[in-house]
Amino acid sequence: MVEIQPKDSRGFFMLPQKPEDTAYYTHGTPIRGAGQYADPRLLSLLMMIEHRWQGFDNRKLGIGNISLAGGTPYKGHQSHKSGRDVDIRLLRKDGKEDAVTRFDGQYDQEATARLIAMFFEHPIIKVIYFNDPMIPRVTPSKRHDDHFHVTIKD
Amino acid sequence: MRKSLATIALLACGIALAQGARVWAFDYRPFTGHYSIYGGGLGDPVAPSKTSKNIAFWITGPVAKQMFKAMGPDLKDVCGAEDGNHIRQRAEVSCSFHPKDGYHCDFGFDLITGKSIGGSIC
Repeated sequence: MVEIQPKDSRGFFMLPQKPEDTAYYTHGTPIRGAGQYADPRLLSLLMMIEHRWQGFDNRKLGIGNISLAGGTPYKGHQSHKSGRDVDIRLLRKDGKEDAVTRFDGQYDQEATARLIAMFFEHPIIKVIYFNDPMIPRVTPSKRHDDHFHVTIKD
Repeated sequence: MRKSLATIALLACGIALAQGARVWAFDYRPFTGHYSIYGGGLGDPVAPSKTSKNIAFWITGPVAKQMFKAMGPDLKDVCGAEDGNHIRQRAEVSCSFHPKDGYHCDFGFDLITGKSIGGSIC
């Protein structure tokens, strides 16, 4: 039986969970993709990025919170209601699918910078919040040391 | 005439003071909210441990409205200040108002040090 991808009242699909042959894995709160309903343009962007990423690196991208079904307020977030925001984990040197902060020895700054540059190549990017001052064009924001936050234009 | 006006004014002040005293009294009121105890950071929380244990509060309703109104003005060009969402912040306390979603405030603490660490991220 073909599994139907969950869709919310806005018509936004949930980011496919545990897909085969893709360069990303999912995480976040709440679990099982309940916080990963995305604007179709963001979903397309993520698919393009992960597809391109496969050509550069064997490590998978950690895609986290996007928005809850219906865009209801997301506890713990000031944004993440429109489906146009996504949190992405920093790349780890050991390739583990786990969290890492920019202060940790496992933080792969070069790979993370390459990934962020890939996002910035797309004109629909509005802002990327991240606190590593060595990475160009990112905007500092409180508590953005263990992930970067991408917002696309409306 | 002047004497009666002064008397009326005094009476009015007295009534206003009496009403004010009746309206405000130091007391504790119930509120609605949620909390989460977690380890690590809010951006990528993990299970709390002996070395990392934090709490985040998320409150709504009349108390959030009172806090929001006490904290003005709205912040512009900050994360979340879009699609009709109004954001107000003071240090690590954040509040927001959206016509559809109402008022909310959040704050949080490091339960090991007691330090105020905020209750939300972008």
